[in-house]
Amino acid sequence: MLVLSSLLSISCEIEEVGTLNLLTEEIVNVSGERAIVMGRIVAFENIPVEDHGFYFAEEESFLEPMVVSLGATERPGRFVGEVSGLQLGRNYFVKAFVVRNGELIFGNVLSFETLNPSILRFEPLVQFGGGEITITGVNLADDTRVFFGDREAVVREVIFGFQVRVTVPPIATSISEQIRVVTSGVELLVETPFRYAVGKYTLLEEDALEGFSIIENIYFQREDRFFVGMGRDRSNRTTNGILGYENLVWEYDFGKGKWLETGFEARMQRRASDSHTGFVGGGIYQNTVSGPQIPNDNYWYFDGDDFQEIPSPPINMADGFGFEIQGQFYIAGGTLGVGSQVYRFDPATDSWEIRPNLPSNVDKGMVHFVYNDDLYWIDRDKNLFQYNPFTAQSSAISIYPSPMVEAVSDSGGFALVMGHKVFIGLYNNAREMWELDLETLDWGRKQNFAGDVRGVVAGAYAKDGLIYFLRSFAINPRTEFWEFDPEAF
Amino acid sequence: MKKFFWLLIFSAFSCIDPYGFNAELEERALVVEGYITTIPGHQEIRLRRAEVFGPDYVGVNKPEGLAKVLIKDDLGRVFRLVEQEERGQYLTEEIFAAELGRSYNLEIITQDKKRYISRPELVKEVPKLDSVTYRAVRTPGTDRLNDEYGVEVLGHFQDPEGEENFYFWRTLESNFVLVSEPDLGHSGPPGMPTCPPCCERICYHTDLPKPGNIFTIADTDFDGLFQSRVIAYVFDNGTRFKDTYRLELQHMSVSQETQLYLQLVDQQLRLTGSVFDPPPANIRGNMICLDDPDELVLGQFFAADVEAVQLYIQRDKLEFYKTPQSLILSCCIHYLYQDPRTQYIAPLLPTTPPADWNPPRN
Repeated sequence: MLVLSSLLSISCEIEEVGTLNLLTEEIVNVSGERAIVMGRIVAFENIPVEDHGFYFAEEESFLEPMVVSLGATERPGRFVGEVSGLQLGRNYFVKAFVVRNGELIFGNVLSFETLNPSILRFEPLVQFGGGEITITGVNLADDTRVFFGDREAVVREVIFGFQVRVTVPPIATSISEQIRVVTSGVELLVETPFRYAVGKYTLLEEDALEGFSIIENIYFQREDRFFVGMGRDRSNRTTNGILGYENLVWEYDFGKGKWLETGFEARMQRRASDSHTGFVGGGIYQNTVSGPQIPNDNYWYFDGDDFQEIPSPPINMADGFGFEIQGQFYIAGGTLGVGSQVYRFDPATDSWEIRPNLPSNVDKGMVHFVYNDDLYWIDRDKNLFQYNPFTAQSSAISIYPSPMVEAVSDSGGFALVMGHKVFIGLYNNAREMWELDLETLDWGRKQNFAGDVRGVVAGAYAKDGLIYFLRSFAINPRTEFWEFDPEAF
Repeated sequence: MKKFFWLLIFSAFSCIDPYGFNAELEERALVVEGYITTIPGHQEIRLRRAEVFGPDYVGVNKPEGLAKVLIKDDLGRVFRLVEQEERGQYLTEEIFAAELGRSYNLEIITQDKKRYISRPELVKEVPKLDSVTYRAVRTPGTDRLNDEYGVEVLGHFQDPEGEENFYFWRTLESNFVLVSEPDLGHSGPPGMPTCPPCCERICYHTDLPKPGNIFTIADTDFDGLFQSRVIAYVFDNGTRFKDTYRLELQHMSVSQETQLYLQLVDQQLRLTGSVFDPPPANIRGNMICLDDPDELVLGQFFAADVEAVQLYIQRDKLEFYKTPQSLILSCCIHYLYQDPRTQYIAPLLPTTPPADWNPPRN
C-alpha cells in the first residue's frame, strides 16, 4: 500500500504540466532616464501567456508602477524590456511579470539607481556665430536644451545620450558666453566659457611699398618700429636690367601712416634668414633676372640705430629659419645642402658654432616662432613641433587645425607671440587665422582674413595688442598693409 | 508465411525516412567579435553576418558595415567606435582604455535599425604574473610514425585567496627569426629571382601562433594557490624554432560568463570526431537583440584587465625540437613569393629586426 501510494505521488509530480518559473534576471544597462532589464521564463515546454514584461517603480511596494508590456508569448526563454522616462538619480525597483489565464505572476525584485547627467567637454572651444559645437557629456536626455548666457541655442541632435550638436547663436554683446545645459529638468553649467571667433581686419594702406609686390623678403620689429625689405619684386622689376630692389629696407612711420625707405642698402640679398628681431642674413645673390643664383654670406644686426655687419657663418644658407634665443642668433635648415643643420651666432664672442641638427628638414616656408626659449614650427604635414635648442629634445605637440593644400597653401603665413598666446595663420592663398594658447595647447578660431585670398604675407608685427601685417599680391601687383584687432567684432 | 515475409520487408523499408537536417543557424546571424582592455589604444570590434554553411552555402561571411557601435560604462559615459576603411571594422579612439572596477556594455545599431546590447562586463584586476617560462614538448599526433613537437609556455602566478578569478590567455601575432638556406638551393620556381649563395639568410617574419586553442581557467580548484600552469602552446612546424621566436601574449582576467563561453568554444575547437566528443553546438554569447530577444547573435563581447607578455623562445634553450627542420632554399626575403600567375605580389620580408627586438643574450 505504501509503495503504491508513493508511486502514485511520484507519478502525479511527473505528470504535472504547464508550470513555469519567472526570473528578473539582470539589469543590463542603466543611464539617466533609461534602463534595460532582462527576464527569463523557465519552463520545459511552450506555455502560452497573455502578456509578459516588467514593472518598474520607485517603491518596493510597486503601488504606482510603470509597466513595460511585451505582449503575448508562448516560448520560454529570456526577454528584454527597456523603459524610458525615468527620473535622474533615483532608486528604482523592477520585477518581471507574466499574465497567464488571467493571473498575474511576478518574478523576483531587483533594484537599480538611475545616473545623474554631467558635462565633460565641448568642442571647438571657439566658434563663429551660426557655427556648430558639440557638447559631450553623460546621461543627456532627448529633451536637452542649451543656453549661451540667456539665449537659447538650436539643438540639432542629441546623439545616443552623450553628445549634443548645437548651433551657436549670433554674437551679442560679449565675445565670451557661459554655456548652460538643461536636461530632464537638471541645469548644468559648463565650466569653460565659450568664446566667439572674432577679430576685425582694417586696411591701412592699399599700396604700401610703392607698387612693389614684395616676396622672399625679411621683416623684423624693434620695439615699436616695423621694418621690411631685402626681398624681390614679384614681377621682377629692374632698373636698367639690374635687379636692384633687393637692397631696400622700409620702415613704417606711424606719424605719417606710411612706409618709408631707410638709408640702408643690403647686398642684393633675398631668401635670407631672419629672426624677426633684427638679425638677418644669408640667402642668395642674383643681379639679373636670368643671372646665376649665388649664395650670399652677408649677415647683419640692426641694433636700433644702424645695421651692423656680423661675421659670416661657416655654411651657406638660403630659405633657412632664423630665430633669436637668449640674445643669440640661430640659423637652421634651408634649401641649400643639409636641411636640418643648425648654427648659432653668439654676439658676446662674435663667432658662430655648430649645434645639433633639428629632427627634420625645415625651411622658411614653415611658420616658426620662439616661446619660453624653445623653438616651435609647423611642418607641411601640419604638425606643431617644440624644440629645446639646449638639449636638442623635440616633440610634436599639436596639429594645425586648418587644411593645407600641397604647394598652394602649405607655406608662408606668420606666427606672432603675444603673452602666452600665439597667432598663426594667413598661409599663402589661405584666409584662416588661429589663436593657440601655449599653456593649454587649445586652438581658437579667429575671423577669416577679409581681403583678397590670393596673397602672401610679407611682414607681421604686434603693437598694443594689435597685429599688423603686410600681404603682397600677384594679381594687381601690390603690397597691402593691414591692421588686425583680435578681440574686436 | 511468404506474405508475411514481404510485409516484413516493406515495413522495414517504410521505416527509412530522409533526415531533415537543420543547422539551427538563423540566416545571416550577426557575429560580434572583439573585446576591450585596460591597455590604452585603438580597441577593435568586428561585425559580420554568418552565412549558412552546407548545401545552401551562399558565400563567405560578409562584414556588417554602416553600423553605429557604442561602448557604454556604468557611469553613463559613451564611447563611439568609428568604422574604418575595412568594412565591418570599428575602432575606439587611440586613448581609450577600459578602467578597473567599471562595467561595460557594447551597443550596436545596425543599418536596418536593429538594436543589440551586450550584458554588462565587469573589469577585474588580473593577478600579476611572477614569471613566464617555456619548455619543449613532444606528443603523439595523428601521424603514428612521427610525434608532434611544440613549445609549452608556463605562467607562474599567485592566485589571490578568497576571490573568484577567471583567467584567459591569448596569443597575438608574433615575430620570429626566419632562417633560410639559399646556398643549398639549385633552381627555384619560374620567375623567381636567382639567389646567389651569399644572399639573405636571416629575416624577421610575423606569425599567428598555431594551433589557436583557447587557454582559459577558473580558479575554482586552486583558489589561493601558487600556479605554474600552461598558458600557451606553439606548434613546431619546422620553421618557427630555427632561431628565436618572440611570442606575444595577453594575460587577462575575464568575467565568469566569458570564461564559460571561452571554455565551451575551446571544447568545440578540440573536437576530434571520436565518440567521446561533446556534441557540436551553437554557443550563445552575451549579445541580445532588443527588438527580438530570441534572435541568435554569435560572439561574446568582454572587457578584460590585461598584462602584456613578451617571451623570447630561443632554439638553443629548447631540449629538443622538430628534426629535420624545414629547409627554405630561397633567399629569406622571398619567403612569401608567389608565382606571378597568381597576380599576387608578395611583400619582401625585412632583414632588420623590429625596433624593440631585444632577446636575452645568455
